[in-house]
Amino acid sequence: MSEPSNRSPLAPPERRSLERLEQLFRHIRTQPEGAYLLDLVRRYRRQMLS
Amino acid sequence: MTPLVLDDVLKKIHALPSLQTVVMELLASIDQDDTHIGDLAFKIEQDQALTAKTLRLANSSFYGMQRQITTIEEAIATLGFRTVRGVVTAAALTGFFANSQQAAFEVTPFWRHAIATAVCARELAPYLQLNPEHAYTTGLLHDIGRLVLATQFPTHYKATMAYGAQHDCSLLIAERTVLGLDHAVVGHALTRHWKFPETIQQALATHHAPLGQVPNPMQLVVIAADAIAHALDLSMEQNDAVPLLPPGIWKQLAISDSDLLQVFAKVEAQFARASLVLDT
Repeated sequence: MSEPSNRSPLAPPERRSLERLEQLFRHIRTQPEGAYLLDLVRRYRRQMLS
Repeated sequence: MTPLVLDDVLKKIHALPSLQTVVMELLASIDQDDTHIGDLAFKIEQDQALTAKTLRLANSSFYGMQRQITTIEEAIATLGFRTVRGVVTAAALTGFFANSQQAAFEVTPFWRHAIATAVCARELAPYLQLNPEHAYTTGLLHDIGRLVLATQFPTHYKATMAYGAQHDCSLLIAERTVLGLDHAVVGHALTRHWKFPETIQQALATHHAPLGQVPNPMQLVVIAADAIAHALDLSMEQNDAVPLLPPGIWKQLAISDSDLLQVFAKVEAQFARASLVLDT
């Protein structure tokens, strides 16, 4: 059994880019429900940066 | 490749061992108001591996304890029964498949997504007057059928993943095309074999309801939690993608934008703690 690590389990900054978001939403960005969620996640990322 | 026969899949599921009795009792206790914490703590402590994992998590720096926690009862008193139950359930489930050397995919990203969906479902549940613990467990298990297929039929599942990558389609579509069945059917059969509560069994069976069908509240929560977990990139899987959503899902959930933004923040914060179970 290993020691619990203290590294962040969240995605590193390069995985939080707009390009990464576009890639994650590639199947759904033209669907209204997908566009809404994409917009919300973009707002959330901006809030986190400010 | 020849599609799978459901009877063969069911035979494999029935050959799988049961989950630890204490986990079943913890799940059964979700609906009980008179749960006797001392009794459950005693039962958890009969399982050395679960106890060790739970205590290591309780003592990790994320919980910022000033002193060493040495018993399950102490962990429950300090972290709360809800947290300990979530930790024990996640530890038991992740441990169950831990020795599967033949899985068709790496299991850590799978569990990262399952835990992210679970904590998100728990946050969304109160908006639809659902039991948050039921939602957590359903979220944790929502794709468990995928893990069964990947460990029991690795060659078939590798072909399924290859099809999904080649056509850039969801794994659900790839499963139905290559295997002739999908992980929702398999997950339902497994939770039936494990005698999970009926509400969890049903939610697993229907968490990929046809897009034209109006989802029930638990389905809504799990579908939304699944999408949010993908959108926040919590599995960190390179080929991850947010799945198609039922039309009108956000209207049916009726959660304001500002509340959803708060849910995102809570999910990321809770995920940081909950995913520690994968490190121990």
